[in-house]
Amino acid sequence: MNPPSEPVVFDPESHAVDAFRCGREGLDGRLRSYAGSGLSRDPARTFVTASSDGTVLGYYTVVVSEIATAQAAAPITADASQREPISVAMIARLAVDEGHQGGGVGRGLLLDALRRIVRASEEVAVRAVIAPAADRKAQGFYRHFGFEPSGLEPDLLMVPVRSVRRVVGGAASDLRG
Amino acid sequence: MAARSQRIEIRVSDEERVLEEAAAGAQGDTLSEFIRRAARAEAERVLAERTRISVDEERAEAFLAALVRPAADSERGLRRLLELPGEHSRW
Repeated sequence: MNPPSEPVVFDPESHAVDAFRCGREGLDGRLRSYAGSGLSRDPARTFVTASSDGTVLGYYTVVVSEIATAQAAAPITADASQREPISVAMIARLAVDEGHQGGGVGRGLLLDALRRIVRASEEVAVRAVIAPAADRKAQGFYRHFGFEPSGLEPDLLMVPVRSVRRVVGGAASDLRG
Repeated sequence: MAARSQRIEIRVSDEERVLEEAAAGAQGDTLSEFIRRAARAEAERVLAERTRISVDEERAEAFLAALVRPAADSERGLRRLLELPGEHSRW
């Protein structure tokens, strides 16, 4: 069984979010606040899985974040000779409506996020995908799909982009695969 | 939910109190419950949407080491994304 739709960019005009409840209020409210305010002001991009009538069943947001050392507040580099800062794509929020949990919607959202990130990483140097896992449910979800401790903070899990590219791909041609 | 043993005291203006009590009442919450939930949601949002993550040297090193860690386990997990939903996953 496939999720009702491939995830698409959230469109407050056509997607209904009022009934969305995932069991964590912060995540519910986050989605509704996007609906009420201009997306362009927000650093996060939002993508949703919706049923055919536009009801949002799940969503995720992604931000690009730079890793910096606290003392210098300077970006860290992989090697001193290389001045490129290390950027990561953070799956900031990912949530599924309670009535649709367990049906593959979350998995579809994560797969879509990773494919979009791999494609973006061809243009912007993004080394890892980071996900905050604030509770055991989120930990279980991300760990199941290969995320491991990032070393950055206890609740931040990560998977290197090179692994994602190798396994999941991201070329436009295999998006429907 | 962990036990709530910590206490935070804050001062607010008359106007803020009226506003927050009205909002709490509108959804059947006590004022404390309303403020606690609102602060938690905002804290989670701020932490999740940082465009810069500042760490000390030790954590930066740990992150760099994690980036080049053998990938077998991660890739086994990632392959589950490509299996049919429900096969052996509750997600």
